[in-house]
Amino acid sequence: MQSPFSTHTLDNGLQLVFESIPRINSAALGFYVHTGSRDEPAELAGVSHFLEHMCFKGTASRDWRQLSLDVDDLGAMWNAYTWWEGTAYFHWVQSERAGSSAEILADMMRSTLPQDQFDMEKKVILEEIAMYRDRPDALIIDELIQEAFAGHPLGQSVLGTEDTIGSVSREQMADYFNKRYAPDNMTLVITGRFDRDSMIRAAETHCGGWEPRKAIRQQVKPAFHPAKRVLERPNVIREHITMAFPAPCDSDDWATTADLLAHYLGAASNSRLFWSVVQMGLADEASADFYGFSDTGLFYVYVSVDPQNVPQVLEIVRREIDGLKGGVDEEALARSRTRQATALVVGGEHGLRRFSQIVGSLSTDTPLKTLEEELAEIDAVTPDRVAEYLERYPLDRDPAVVALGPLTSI
Amino acid sequence: MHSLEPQRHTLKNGIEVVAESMPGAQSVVVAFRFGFGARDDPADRLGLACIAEETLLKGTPNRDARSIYDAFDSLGARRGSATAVEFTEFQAQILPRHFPEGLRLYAEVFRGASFPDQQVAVAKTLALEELKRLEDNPTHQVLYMTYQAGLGDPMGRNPLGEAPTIAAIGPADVREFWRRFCSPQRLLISMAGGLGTEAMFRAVDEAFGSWERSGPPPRDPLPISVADRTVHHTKQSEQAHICLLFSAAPRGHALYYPTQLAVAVLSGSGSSRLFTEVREKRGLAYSVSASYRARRGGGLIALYAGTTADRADETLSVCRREVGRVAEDVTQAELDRAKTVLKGQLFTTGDLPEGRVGSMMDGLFIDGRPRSIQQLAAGIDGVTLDLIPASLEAFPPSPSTIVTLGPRPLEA
Repeated sequence: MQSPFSTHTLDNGLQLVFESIPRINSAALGFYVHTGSRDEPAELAGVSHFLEHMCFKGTASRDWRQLSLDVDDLGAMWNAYTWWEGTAYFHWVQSERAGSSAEILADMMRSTLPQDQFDMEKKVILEEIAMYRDRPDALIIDELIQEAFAGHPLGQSVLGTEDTIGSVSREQMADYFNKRYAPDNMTLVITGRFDRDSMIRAAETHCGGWEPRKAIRQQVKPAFHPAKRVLERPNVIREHITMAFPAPCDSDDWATTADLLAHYLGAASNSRLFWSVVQMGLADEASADFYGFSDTGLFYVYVSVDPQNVPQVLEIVRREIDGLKGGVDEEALARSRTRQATALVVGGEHGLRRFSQIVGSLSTDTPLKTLEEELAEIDAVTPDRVAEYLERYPLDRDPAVVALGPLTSI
Repeated sequence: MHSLEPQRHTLKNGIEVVAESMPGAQSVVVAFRFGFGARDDPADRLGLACIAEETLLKGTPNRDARSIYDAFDSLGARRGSATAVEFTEFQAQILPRHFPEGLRLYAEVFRGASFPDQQVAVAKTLALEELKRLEDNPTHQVLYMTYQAGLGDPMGRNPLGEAPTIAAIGPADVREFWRRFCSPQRLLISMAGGLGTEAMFRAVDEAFGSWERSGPPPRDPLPISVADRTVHHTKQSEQAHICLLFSAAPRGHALYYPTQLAVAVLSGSGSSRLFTEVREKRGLAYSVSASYRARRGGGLIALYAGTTADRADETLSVCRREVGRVAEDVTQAELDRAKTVLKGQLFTTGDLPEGRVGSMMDGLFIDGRPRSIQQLAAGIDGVTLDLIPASLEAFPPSPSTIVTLGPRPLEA
């Protein structure tokens, strides 16, 4: 089968990545910028995310109001997101509007960072930080990563803090912006149905004049810290607990095994933890997940539990994790493979989901894979392979643990 | 573009089915909606419909819970379910080759669920846990509080129930509830994806055709009315969570599409009025939105904003002013833009199997008319500027219910 992917690079280094999905009548497209919270100096923690907001706030040819009017006139579904490894901006539009969409997105990438808008948006970011404090389940993974990689930029908050956001100046942001939002540090990703040649012409017209800056990431592999932190929050009702173990990076051959093992242990339904914790009525959630970064990874468990059940639930989680060493059930693992394979096939026809997947792979320097290649990787995860994984990435070492809730200790 | 009308089919036993074929799609999505839900819970057993939904897959005379879960997983089915005030729904996304087997499994559990004692006990514990978990998510919590305060009983119920009424539920209650309400006459099925409609209908006939008509017909919709009240719940949260609820045109009403456009002028895009006035111009909130919610007996508009406590009064007054202003000064350019935004949604998320299944099901359930994307687009296109104030005149945003959840009540 012919690969659905192709690439093109402009003279200034801007890379274009295309994935054609012929069935659908829309295109999801946008910019991936290879800069995220791990690229921030500690005193500027949160600047990548704040900058993402500022890219909607005005350019040389459009003020914030005109930008939003023009995007809405495309009928685009749009958003942007910032995480540890990168920043992404997307539009999802009817195919015939992809060219106009690319022009607006390109314009946004040359924000003028207007001072009055900078001051106003700071208030919105501070509200966003406050909002997440009211959502312990959404906050805790960020806290876990801060703990596991403490002392490394990967261990800085994506949102930043009241202090860093409060004190960052427009000039500091502009300096970061100029260095990081350079064509040789960005990719224009286009998925769905579109005309490839006209997208290349649009990119040349709207991005061809951007100056390369040779931006590079200071890629220092973070060290994993086993540690325990209890964040006492008397107003939180449940005890939210996560524990993480070292795992492979996203581009590692073992990443798919880590993903399947997490699914086997703690998928939302019909997994080991589902039956031994949730379906025993001991916690409203007990899940496992794998997250691959560009140079490291985490295999982690999350539980949301009534404070009085904490000792019992932690003991069961420990027992289930230890039990993996005795071998995984072949049939149950096969069901996990089938479910993940179906999810892949289904996601393959969703333009926006493909966009996010490609952006994720770009952020961790993971080669793009066709559906057939990904399905073959899933098929290769046998109980023997899981056993070998557990030799390489054992789960019986001390984890990094974060607890957030009413308890003073766990 | 699949321009065909949604295809309809009715089984002899009363099951109503709608389907749309999407050639080339890799999956088929199916939704089963039963016309019973939290409104049917006895007053001293609130949460019963939800317990029944949670326990449905936990046993039949021939299979235990794990065997049922394993059977679905062996097909790679991605399942979901939900209990609402007016309905109980189960959905799955399945590869076309497994579709008939998936339907057979659902037919088996709908007809033969045994609701084992121990599984009901677990579901009760989990429902109590969910209620507590809700307190760690004030954005959702305030919405449930607003329905309760605004719509009263039974239409404003939180389907999860309340701690004492959940505790009172016994396995016999669940079995009796299911025996009494679960019948083919109350079942609607919506399907879309990569199979022909004939093949989809055939699979439904084979799986559900032998189910005998039984039980009473579906109940009539209950009318909706929103109380005129302001309620505060104290919580030591970071933000004040504000919700405002009022009535709107029902689905199927001549003013339904104008109402959708009025909501789109207010919310849901970057240039919408709430986003512009609350967030962009004043920096009062990160999250502010208004959304339309259809019930069988009427439409509702719910508005949410989260802001730090000392900005709550200003945030609410800006929101209310914007709601009022929609009746006064929407321009032709704004209306045209709102149409473009709504049609943009139709042709992106609306063009996925799950989007079509949800839209067709809402049409079938609420006003008996599933619509194609083209019909929906034509409805949007047909709205003229004069109909925007007309929709708010016919369904004014008062009386309204305001609920705040946060450190202190509003000042005014």
